Amino acid sequence: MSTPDLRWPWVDPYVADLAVPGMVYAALVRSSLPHAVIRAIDLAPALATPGVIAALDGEAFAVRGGVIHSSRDEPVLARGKVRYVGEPLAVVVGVSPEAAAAGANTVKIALDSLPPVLTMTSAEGATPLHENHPDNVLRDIVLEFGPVEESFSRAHTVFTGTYGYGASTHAALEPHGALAWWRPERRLWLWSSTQCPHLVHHELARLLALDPAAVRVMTPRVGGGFGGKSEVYAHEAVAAKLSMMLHRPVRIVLSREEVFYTHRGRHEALITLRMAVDSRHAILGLDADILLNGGAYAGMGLVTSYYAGQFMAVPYRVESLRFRSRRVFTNGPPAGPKRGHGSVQIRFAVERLMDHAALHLDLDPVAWRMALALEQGEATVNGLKIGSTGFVRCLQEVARHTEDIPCRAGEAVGFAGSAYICGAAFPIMPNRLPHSQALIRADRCGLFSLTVGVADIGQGALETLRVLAAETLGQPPSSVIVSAGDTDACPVDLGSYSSRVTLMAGNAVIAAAGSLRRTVLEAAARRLGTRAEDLDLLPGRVVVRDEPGRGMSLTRAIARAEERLGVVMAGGGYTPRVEAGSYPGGALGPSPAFSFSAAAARVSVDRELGTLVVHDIWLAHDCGRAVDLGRVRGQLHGCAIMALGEALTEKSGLTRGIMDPVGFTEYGIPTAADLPRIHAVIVEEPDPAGPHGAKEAGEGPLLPVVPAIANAVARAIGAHICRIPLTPDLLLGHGAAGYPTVEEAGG
Amino acid sequence: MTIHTVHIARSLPDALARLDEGFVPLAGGTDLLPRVKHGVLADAAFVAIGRLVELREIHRDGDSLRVGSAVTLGRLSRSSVCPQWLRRECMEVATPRVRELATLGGALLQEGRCRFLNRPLHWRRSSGPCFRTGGTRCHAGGERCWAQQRSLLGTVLLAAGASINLITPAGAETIALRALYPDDAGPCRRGGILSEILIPCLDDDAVAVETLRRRGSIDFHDLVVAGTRHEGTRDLSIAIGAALPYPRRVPLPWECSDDVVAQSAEAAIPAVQTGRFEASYVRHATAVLMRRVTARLLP
Repeated sequence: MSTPDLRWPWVDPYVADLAVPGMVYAALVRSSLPHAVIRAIDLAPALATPGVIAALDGEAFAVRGGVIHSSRDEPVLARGKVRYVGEPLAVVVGVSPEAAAAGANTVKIALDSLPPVLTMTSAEGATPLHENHPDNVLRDIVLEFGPVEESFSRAHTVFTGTYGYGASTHAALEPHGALAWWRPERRLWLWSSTQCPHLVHHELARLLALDPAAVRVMTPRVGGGFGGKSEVYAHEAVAAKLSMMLHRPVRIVLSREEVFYTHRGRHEALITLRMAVDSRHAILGLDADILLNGGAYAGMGLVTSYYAGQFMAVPYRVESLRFRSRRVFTNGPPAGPKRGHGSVQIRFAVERLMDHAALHLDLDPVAWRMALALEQGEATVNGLKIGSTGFVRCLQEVARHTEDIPCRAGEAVGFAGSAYICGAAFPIMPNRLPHSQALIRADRCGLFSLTVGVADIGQGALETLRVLAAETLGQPPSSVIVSAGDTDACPVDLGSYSSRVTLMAGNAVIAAAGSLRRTVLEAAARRLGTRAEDLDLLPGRVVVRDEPGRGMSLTRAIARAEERLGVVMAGGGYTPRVEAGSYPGGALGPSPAFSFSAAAARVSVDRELGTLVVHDIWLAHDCGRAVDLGRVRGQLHGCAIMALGEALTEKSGLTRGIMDPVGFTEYGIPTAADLPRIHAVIVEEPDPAGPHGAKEAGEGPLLPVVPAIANAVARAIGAHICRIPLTPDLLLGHGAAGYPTVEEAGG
Repeated sequence: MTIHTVHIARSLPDALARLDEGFVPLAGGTDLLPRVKHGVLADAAFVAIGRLVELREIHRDGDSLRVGSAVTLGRLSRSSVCPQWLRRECMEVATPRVRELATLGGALLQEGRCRFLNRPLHWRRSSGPCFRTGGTRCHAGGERCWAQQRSLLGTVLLAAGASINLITPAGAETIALRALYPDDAGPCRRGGILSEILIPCLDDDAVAVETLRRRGSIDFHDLVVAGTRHEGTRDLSIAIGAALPYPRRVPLPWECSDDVVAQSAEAAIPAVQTGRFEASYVRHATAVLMRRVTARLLP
């Protein structure tokens, strides 16, 4: 294969920086109606536009997309119907971005409007979006664990609350984009800003009826994802298809408005939660009715539906658990995975109701949570096993830091706790193959070349893997060179989602590096006339453990191994050893390890205006072991800020049936001027399943921050806060929705 | 976003001649260019006036500050001759980067904003046209366009009793700032070039400003109530802005009950709101901010 003539303008480019000779540009034509039958699409005017060289509509794609094989319902380009404003209908290719956009503007679309479903509470029984879901419910999931009815009948007090959680989006700074190049050797190369190159690889092959061996996916630098780049999107498929048609490279980069239409953000949720508490304040039962607004297509929604209930009990000891979870279809952009996928909404509900109960029962909110905390070796009533837990330590840390905080009138401190998975034990595409693999090669100059399939989306995953490899080899991190982001050159990794990379790819790296270490030591042992297990690998040297003066340089040891083996390399893989629950959906929820977090927030509320200020957030997180202290702390700060936005100012929704807002001027990401003091506390409780004890730190810390803020507000104003985001008008009871009530009943 | 024609004015007469030909004045561009990007203002030709030296001066003239309309908010906030209260309010606008481009004249002449109008082209096409974009309805429910001017400084300077100099082909004219802002949603007085703003140099404790704003940066204000107290009189000058088509002065007695304030807020705030809050909340918040402003100003 000849070296491609790639003209990267930057050493470390984003998709929008990539340029290939002969490249052309694609622009999507999007629906202007939320629900309609497609009567006709006339591409002729676009094809007559100067500079336009091709155009396609949905008829060009025979199969539907979807990452979960049992719920593939999303056409690449709409066919027959459109189901949300902004849904891609057609694509136009031009010799310049301007020509493509001009052509896209001329495509004539004839749509016959259908009644749209604009709210999740009106979805069931409304005009169906999909023929195979006449009730507009993706799946009606009911799961019960333990003696729920009997538990509630024994309760001293039953607390009930209804909680609303607003939809929000990821707001990654880099918009989605892809560059596809159908090569002369009849292989497809695709560069994409994605979290899951492996998933894109196989899903693209399926959508385009290609042998997976004919597809190569590469990830250049990725400017954030937060879950929003976990699926396979229309822009990737159309770029690939058009490149195959035209035999030219095709690039497409979405505008910010288009990213908002693509969405896959946090599901809006309405949760009615009952909690049974006995006279000794043990939680006898949790019973939730969960309604999720899924938007127009399933996407990863089935996972969301299960996660919403499965994680209800962790991190607490709960005797029984029941949930009904329904994700309904509405005529909005599809919701999907966002940082803390599926568990953020239910955590808000549980922690709010617990705090309300603590006030009612006159309990210290932190001490009560400590008393209820699951211990190492325990399992939740639905079978989630706790291999390690630093939850009590996290609670102690936030309590210690806040015990002397004075609160004036209108001020209060609120607390909350949480747990999160370190990767899903079972893959999206069911199989028993390794979830992560790593290759490592030793070079005679003393460098180690590590190759992994991980997509670094800005979180520094590759740096973490570099440190783990270096620790295993006993060498400085600078001696390990990491390569990633190319499905041709790298082994498999399922992707950067579900907080799986540190644990799963980390274990694969340790397995590979450990194997290489043995190989090098065995070669040195032969030369030194001793046993490999009597040798130590120190920075730059191999030494006999009990004879520090005896040994050889690392480069010599590697050279001796090369003489014997030809090339000194090793591979490693990681497959979780976790059992699925023996019930429908029992594979959704188990994880090799759980991280734990606790948060406290100090707020003050202007009771006349309904505005509030978050002054401080204390966030303690059990990450098992901080492989990279600075990056873990950075993740805690990022989680706190994203949670602050969800709690106060960020909200996605429909206005006149259209996604709103669709730009960063209106979408309320907290600015530097809005940030509280963030006190990040790292708790290390190594997990036997983690690489050198490490667990996740990128998603879990978000979970307790939103309810901690809401709990603080509730305590500051003496009201039960049931809805997020906490806008001033809602806080004062203005607006149509108002606040649901909370009830207590004696058992 | 494509801008086809920009004429850089060499002098005020040159700029006036272009305005007469239908060119749109362009100074800092922070209000105008996003509208071009969103297609709200399409196919316009622009006359750039930001470099005219006549519009870029700041100087003290007795008890007044004279500020050229093309002076940026960043520069004004750093000016040693600028009263402290005005420097402070300049710093409350937008972001540091925007303040280095945005001009005082532009702040006073901002176009009305609406959550149905200031949106990208596909969004507005999907929503359908409104009064402002060739349609026959207001998506917010008004019987006419209720886009709201979100100018913090317009409201503050209205309360302060500022005047403006207008240059027209007929000559120069000084008028009260309030003449720029009609009391209803109708068209305001336009024509000519706003060359200079004359601002009374009030004491710092004679000016009070209370605002409602979602975030501490970037966002336009959702509500502004500004008040000034004039020495030697029992007059309070109160102005409300950001939740109205234009800032407006609100008569308020020196001593008044909370009920009177609430009634005054109720009368001032229209039932149609094109911002992020419902009218009932905006009226409530207006009354709260009016009470706070008067409390700060009264001895």
